[in-house]
Amino acid sequence: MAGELKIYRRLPGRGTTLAHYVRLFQGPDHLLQVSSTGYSEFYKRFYYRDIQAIIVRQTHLGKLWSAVWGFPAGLFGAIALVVQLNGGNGLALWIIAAVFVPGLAINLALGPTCACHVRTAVQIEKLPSLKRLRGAQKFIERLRPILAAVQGELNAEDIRARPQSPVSASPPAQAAAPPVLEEPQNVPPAVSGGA
Amino acid sequence: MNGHPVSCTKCSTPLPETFLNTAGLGECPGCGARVKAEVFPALLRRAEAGPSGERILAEGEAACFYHPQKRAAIPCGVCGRFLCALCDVELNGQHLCPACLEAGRSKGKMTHLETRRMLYDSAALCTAVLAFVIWPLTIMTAPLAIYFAILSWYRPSSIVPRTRIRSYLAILVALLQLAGWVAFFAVTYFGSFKA
Repeated sequence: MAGELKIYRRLPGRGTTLAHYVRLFQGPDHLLQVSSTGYSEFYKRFYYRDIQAIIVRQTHLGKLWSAVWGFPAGLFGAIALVVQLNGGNGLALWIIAAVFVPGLAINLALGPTCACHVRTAVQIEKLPSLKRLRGAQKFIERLRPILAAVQGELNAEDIRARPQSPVSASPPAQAAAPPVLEEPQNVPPAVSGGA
Repeated sequence: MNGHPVSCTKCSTPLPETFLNTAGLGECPGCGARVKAEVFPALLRRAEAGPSGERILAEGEAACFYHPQKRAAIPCGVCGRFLCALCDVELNGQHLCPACLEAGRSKGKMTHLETRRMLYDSAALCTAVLAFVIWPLTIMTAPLAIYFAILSWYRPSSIVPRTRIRSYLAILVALLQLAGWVAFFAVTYFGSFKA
């Protein structure tokens, strides 16, 4: 049954959390986040009609990785240079330094890191697969026309005119008493979980 | 969250409109993190109250199966029970009652509601390959890997595009392991027989 539903298209970015490998897919009416453990996959759906915002924040993780790769490369390179200048054979140290250089080069080539969040009416969810600013930008470029087709366009005037509700420190007076339910039977039927 | 301002994901400071739908990143007024937000029309949409179902006014009117006081609006697409507007759940153009929805979700019949899938092909490959770490175990894990690989053809795989290469590889590795064991026992048996 492999590939029974080929309705998903891969989106830019891949990332890992503590125990999962995470990717994003473009579905017909939703964004699908697939977290894989190797043996099983977990799915999270964000419907296009519900996505309110995508928030991208640059992080310092990229600089940290540059330091992790660059420091040993520089250290062993410097020691090798000193050894060679003193007439010794620094080949082994050059080789050790060279081991770290590809990591540094790849990290620099991938560009700055970021944290990307998707916001809906009821949640702000991190997208662990979008860890690089370039990938996040590509992701937004891919998603923008899809969301425009579903939700319509949002122009600058709409953004300026949007209702602002500042978060107040004290709760509003109406919230002191719970609302009175007029129709107690107005609840969906309770369904016991299937076992 | 509708009406709430879009906030920085690091310090929760509301972002000014100059940060919304811009090409570059700006410095958050709260924490100084470089951030931007791509907002969509759903941000401005107000959450509408859902239907609650109409009360039965005339005697003899069809009533909801779950709420006898409510007028039936539509039959369930699976079980045919009459549903009021409150109990009617629309999913991919199909109208379902909460019980059928729950039954479909728990039995894995509704792909749109699935949140987890076991990947038998990955399990087969991991079983076949990881057993090399403790190689005497391969006599037991090789048949298990073949079983998982065959099972993966009959069970639903990932909902995102995926090839069967893992199953084939698992079978190949497992067969090689079994062939190795057969050769080992043959050499041991015939070697001792000749001696």
